[in-house]
Amino acid sequence: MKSRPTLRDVGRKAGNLHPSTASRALHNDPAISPETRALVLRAAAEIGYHPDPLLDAFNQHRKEVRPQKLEPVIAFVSDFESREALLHSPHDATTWEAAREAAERLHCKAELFLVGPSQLRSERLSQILHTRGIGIVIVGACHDLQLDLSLQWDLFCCVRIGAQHLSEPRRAVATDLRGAARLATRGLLAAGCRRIGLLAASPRSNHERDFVHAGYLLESASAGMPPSAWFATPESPTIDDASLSRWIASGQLDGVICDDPALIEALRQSRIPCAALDATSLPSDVAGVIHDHRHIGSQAVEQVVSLARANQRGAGNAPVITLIPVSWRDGASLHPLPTAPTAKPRHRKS
Amino acid sequence: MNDRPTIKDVARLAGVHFTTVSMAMRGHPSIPASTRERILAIANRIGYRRNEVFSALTRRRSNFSADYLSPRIAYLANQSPEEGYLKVAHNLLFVEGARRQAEALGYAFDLVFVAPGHHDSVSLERYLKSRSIRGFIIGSFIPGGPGLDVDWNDYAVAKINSHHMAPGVPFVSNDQYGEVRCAFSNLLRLGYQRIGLAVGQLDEQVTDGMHLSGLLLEQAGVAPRNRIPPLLFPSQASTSREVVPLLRSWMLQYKPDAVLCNWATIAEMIREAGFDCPRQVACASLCLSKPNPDVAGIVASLEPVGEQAASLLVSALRAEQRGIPELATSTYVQGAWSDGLTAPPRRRRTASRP
Repeated sequence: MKSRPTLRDVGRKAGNLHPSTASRALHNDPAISPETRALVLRAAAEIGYHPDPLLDAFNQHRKEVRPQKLEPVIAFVSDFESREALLHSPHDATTWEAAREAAERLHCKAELFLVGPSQLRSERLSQILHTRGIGIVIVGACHDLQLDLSLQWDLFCCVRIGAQHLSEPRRAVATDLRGAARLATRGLLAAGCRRIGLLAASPRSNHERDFVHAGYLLESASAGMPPSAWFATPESPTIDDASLSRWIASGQLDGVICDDPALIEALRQSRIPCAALDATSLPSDVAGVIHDHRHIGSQAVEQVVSLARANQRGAGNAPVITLIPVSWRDGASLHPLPTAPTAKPRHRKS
Repeated sequence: MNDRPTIKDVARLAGVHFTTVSMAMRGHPSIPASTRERILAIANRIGYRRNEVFSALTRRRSNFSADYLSPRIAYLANQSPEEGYLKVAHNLLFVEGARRQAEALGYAFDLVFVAPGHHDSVSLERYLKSRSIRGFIIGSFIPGGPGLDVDWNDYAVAKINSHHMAPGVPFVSNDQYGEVRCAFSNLLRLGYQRIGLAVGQLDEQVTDGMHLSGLLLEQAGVAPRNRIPPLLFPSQASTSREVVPLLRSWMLQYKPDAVLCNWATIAEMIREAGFDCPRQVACASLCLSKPNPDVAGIVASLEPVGEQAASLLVSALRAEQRGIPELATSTYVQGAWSDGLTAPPRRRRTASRP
């Protein structure tokens, strides 16, 4: 019978340490010095120590039948300036809430840590995580494109939510923006539009913008429709009604995919069929794509807990992204009522 | 507190002893079929399920067979070794990655062939049940090969590649979109301007347009006169003899100075089509399995794809998530560019000598 390496073996290999020292080192316990932790991590990697899934299941069962005194903490790192601000951002609040619930299901506890110029700096965050012995990190709800989050990733089991401007951790969970752009294009095509434009005005990282653009280009190409995409950048002037109607006229557009609620309102005022790239928190008469922010939060927690159970730390090698599926919602914004009787009949389909 | 139904709840409702339920659930021959079905129906109704990890733990305690020491997952292939499954480098890398990760997570790993001369869906289910396997990976099934017809609600499932094949379960693949983009931008960096993409139509179907979406995005960033329409090899073309004439007429018509292709033999194909590669036309392969100084292209991260699939499957097993979800996630692993002789740096005509 082949026996699995145990904590006892790890301790012995690391220089006659007690198995509980080995365990505490693997769990980032602050009482263990960095040198000892490094020794233990190396020994564990060398002899291929992994927690036993059967004992894991048994522990899981014990946790279910009696309440835990001390649950492992998952640090949920965000760059909002306050907890209230995060809770007022509908999507991020949903993701955070779902992450908290998923953590509870898995007998962990998610805690919020706010980073940024006026909040915790990276060094201070590292210090806190270290003293509290926290080894699991989710980088979630980070929107500042300038954010510099440099932790010593080798110490952590970590996953990122969205935030594709950050290069680490390399494992990410994100909403499927390419799928969203594809669904929106198809939705407008199904509503009878033949020249569909893409108008993106919300600030996004280049990665995210590219996903949206790629999905739109693919569906446009397969419908044989010349693409017309307008990406507002932070430097470009704000989009006003005049520039909007100039763009629509120049592309002879009869439908627009848009990611900005104010512009969607403007488009509806001018009776242009439109669909929202993210209609999740818009009124139900706006057609568009529904994103599953709950699923994002729970998926991130499941992945990071899975890493923790297998003791797999570090930022990861090849970039990996898990895309959370989106769905389509029909709405009145696809079929604006004709304006006044004097308005031009809608025969611009040719 | 845990309020999941237990084996004793089933026993009470069925009016039998709980060991009878246990034996019925395991398909023990001494339980009459009618009793078993009655018990299974009750278990189903109240939602009782055996915890496979737990049963493995019990089995270890009773220590009756080394074969049952670990819970186990299966990796299914729909092509047999006789048909050359094990000769394809990609398959081996996927399997190796999945095996390594499954073992790291403490699961034993079976490679199972669903192909002529091996299993069909019926014998597969029998096999999975007999080894208490409750989760499997559908490993890069080839289109047109045998499919699967099993009771999906009994299993946790993850899939490698073949996005569009049923069923829609969590899916892992190398990132063809990112790979085309990465290769395209590296060829631009090396000085190429008219970059064409040649891929199989079938590959586009099974990846749901991933190569094309990467190409279209990159082309949006170059001068319109340098945007070359992609060449899609028809689905039935499977040998280079069939595609070389198509490649030749496409190259004559659009005059690419570099060709991206997901066939490993693209350099030979270009030469067969009558062009000097790389002097006249450079090329890059999108499917290198390791860095190769002779061939430029993308080294796809194939082992990590297998690893991810195993991780997803194990977390689903732990969470007791079985069956086909309404909407499934897709996970993509990015590859990396590797320079090679088929795409040397190209001196721009405007570049002046020092």
